[in-house]
Amino acid sequence: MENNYRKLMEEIVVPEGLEDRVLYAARRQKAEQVGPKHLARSHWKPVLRGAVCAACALALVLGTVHLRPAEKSGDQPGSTSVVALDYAFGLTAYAADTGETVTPNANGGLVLAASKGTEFAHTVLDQETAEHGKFTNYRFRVNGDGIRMVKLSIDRGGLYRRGAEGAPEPLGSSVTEPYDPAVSYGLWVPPEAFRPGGEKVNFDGAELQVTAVFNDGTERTERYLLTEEKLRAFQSEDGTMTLAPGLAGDEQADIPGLYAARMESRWLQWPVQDSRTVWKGNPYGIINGKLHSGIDIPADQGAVILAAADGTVTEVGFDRERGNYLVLDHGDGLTTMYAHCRNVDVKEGDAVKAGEMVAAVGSTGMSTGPHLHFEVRQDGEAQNPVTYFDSAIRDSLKAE
Amino acid sequence: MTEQALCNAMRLHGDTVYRLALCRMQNTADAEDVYQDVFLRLFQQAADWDGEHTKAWLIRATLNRCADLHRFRLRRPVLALEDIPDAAQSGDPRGVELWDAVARLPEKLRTAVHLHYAEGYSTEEIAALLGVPATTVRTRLHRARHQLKDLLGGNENGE
Repeated sequence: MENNYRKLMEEIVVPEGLEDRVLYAARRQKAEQVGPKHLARSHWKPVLRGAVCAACALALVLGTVHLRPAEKSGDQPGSTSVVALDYAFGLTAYAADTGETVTPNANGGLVLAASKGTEFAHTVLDQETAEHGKFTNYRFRVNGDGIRMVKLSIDRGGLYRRGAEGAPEPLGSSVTEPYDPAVSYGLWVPPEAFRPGGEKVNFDGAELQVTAVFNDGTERTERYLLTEEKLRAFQSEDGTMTLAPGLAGDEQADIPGLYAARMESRWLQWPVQDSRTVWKGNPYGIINGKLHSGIDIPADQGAVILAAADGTVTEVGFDRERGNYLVLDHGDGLTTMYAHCRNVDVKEGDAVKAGEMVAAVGSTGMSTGPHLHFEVRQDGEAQNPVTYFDSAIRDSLKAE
Repeated sequence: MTEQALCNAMRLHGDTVYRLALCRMQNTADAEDVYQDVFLRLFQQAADWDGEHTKAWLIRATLNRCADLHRFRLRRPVLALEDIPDAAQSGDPRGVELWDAVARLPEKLRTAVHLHYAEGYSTEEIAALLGVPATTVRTRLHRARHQLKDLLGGNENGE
């Protein structure tokens, strides 16, 4: 009866739409607490708009310290830059307009989430679109101290500006203008794309370039590769929720959106030969109150484990939990850890090259089958390893 | 609590709350009301809890809310399994019988059975959740098994 009752109950799930209703009620409750004046003007309106377009606006915070050109050569630019995500709530998308700051992943990846495809053309040709083009929901903001000017450019479509008040203004494919922290920018599809014979605009694969000119005349440029992704929400160590690209086969990665990956990010190589699987039963993030600080890659016993990047072996050891493990230091605070190995082929102090064999997959320590537990840490903080693989590697991975 | 934390809590524990509410209320509309109330109350909580604490709080809050609603109802009909949208499709006659039997258990026994068998809590954990001695929980489970055996005509093993 035990099994039967449990089986019976497992078929019963929360009815569709109930979660949304509760969220809606929660939002309403919060809005009422803020006060009717506030509700009527600045809060309630965006909520309604957000409900319609399910947009996520994004603030790209260019941190003061990190954006001055690094006099210290060891400075890893952007590794600690912070992104403020202006989250919008949609009735259909898993997104909540809390006006809260959500930090980006430590590898500088940003999420521009929206519930629409990234290709725009020949769709709706209303008067508005024919005249002004399409102002997409992919929006971002440049933040930081001591910025005098911003230069933005994109290699397809264009950009638009939206101030605190007023209508969006098209800017074309590039713009240089004085910095205003209240202004947000968005991706724009020019009206030509909607005319017969006009070229389609698809932001999947586009390159966005953002340059900040500081008061002392120095400049800093970040380039972003925009890719269309299915995103997954995960809870990081400090408890904040973040979105990161999901993998094929992961049904929790169900938020379509545009992901902006910093091109100068630190990309890692895939650490296991002959396995391109990530176990979805135990993904990175806080699950049931406990942080799973890495990803599990199932592979055959003895499969070759490769160094994810050039580095030095800083630790080789064994303990009850991790079994045989090793830690590689890749410089600038970036480390990777490989656990549950059958055997480790390198010793402390060895220098390794990316793609070099360092160990073999096993099932030592607290493990129930041969797999590699792979962790990425920046300054000792566990990061979502998925954000350290470029889109070519991510596309080849499967969650199972 | 933030909306994201709320979303997360609903994703992690939504089914637990809904199933428990349904088991207690025997009515989908009431269960949905309880669900909404409980999560809105969670949303009002400022405290930052870990997952297990949140779950325990949700279970306790669900039981309280169910008890509140029950004060208005003296006799309630038993919900037929066919009336639950998701469970209806399987159509296993033994499932229908089991659901019916559990639904007919007295409330105290039913709660203990649900938490033990559906949520996998141990008797000690249930005791802590309900604020009664563990021995009481074991007695309730024992009685529940006994009654279920009777209700199911003795052909079920009870365990």
